[in-house]
Amino acid sequence: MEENTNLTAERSLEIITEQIEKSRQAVSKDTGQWLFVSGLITMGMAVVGALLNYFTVYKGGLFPGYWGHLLWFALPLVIWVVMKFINRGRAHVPESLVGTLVRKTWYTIFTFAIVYTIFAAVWNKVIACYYGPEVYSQCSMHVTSFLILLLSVGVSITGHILKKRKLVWFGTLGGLLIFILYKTGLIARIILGFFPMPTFVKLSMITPCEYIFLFALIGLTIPGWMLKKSK
Amino acid sequence: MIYQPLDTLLHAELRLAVMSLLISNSEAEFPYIKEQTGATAGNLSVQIDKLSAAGYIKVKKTFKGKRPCTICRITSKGQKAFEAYVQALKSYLEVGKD
Repeated sequence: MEENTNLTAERSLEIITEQIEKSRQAVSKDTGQWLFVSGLITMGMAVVGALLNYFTVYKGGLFPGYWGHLLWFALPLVIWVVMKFINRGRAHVPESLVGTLVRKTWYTIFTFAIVYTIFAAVWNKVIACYYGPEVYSQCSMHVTSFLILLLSVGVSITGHILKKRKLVWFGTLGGLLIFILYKTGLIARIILGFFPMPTFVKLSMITPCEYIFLFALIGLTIPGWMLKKSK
Repeated sequence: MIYQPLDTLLHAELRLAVMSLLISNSEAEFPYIKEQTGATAGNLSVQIDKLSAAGYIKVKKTFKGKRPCTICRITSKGQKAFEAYVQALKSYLEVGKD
C-alpha cells in the first residue's frame, strides 16, 4: 500500500470495510488453529488413553483399567504448551470485539468443564467406594456426554460469532451425533458384540475414548482445519 | 448540499487502513499491522509516525522476551477523527446517490 491521497469516497469505504473484515479473518484463523490443534491433541490422547486402559485392566492396583482417564486432566495444559510453541515468534492477533467474544465464550466453557469434571470424578469415586454399584448406577455423574454437549455448544456459538456457517453445523451435528451414539451405546453394541467375553471386557474399558476421538475429529479438527484454510 | 471537509491525514490509503485496523482492535503490534496492510516496514513506520504526531495513535515501544516490540493504540482523538471522517464520507456518498 502506497501513500495514495487521491481516493474516491467509495475506495475509502472499501479500505475501511476491507481492514475490518481482515481483523475478523485474523480472529477466524487464530480460532481455527486453536480448534485444529486441540482436536488433534484430544484425538491423540484418546488413543493413548484407550491403550492405557486396555493394557491395565487386569493388572490390579489403584485404578485398574482407568489410568487412561487420568490423562484428561493434563489435556488443557498440553494444548496450551503446544499452542505457545506454535505461536512463538508470530505476530500476536490483537484484541477485538469478535476475538473477545470468542475468548470469553471458551473461558466460560472451560471453567464449566473443569469444575464439573473434577466434582464428578470425586463424587463418582465416593459413591462407588461407599454406596456400592446400585447407588452408583443411579447417582453417578456422566462426564463424557456433558463435555461433548458443552464443547459442541462452544463450537456452534463460535461459528455464529465468526459468521462461519460450517462451524455451526459441524459443532451442532458433531455434538448431537456423538451424544446420541454414546447414550445409546451403538458403537459398543455393534463392534464389541463380535468379541469373546474377556476381550469384550478389555475393549469396553476403552469407552468413552472412541466417542471422544470421534467428537474431536468431527467437532474440533475438521472445522478447525477449514477455518485455518478459509480465505 | 454542503460537503464536509475530509481529514487530509486520514485521506491516504495506508494511514486509513492503519486507522481502520486499530478502530476494530484495542491495540495491535507492528508486525500484525504490517501483515494485514501489506505495507513495507519503512513506509508503515513513516505513516505511523505521522498518525502518532497528530495524536491519533499512541506508540509504545516495549520488549517481547528479548525482541523489541512496537504496539500501536488508537487514542480518543483518533477515534473522534475517524468517526468524523466516516461521517464526511457518508455525505459524499449521499450526494453521489442524488
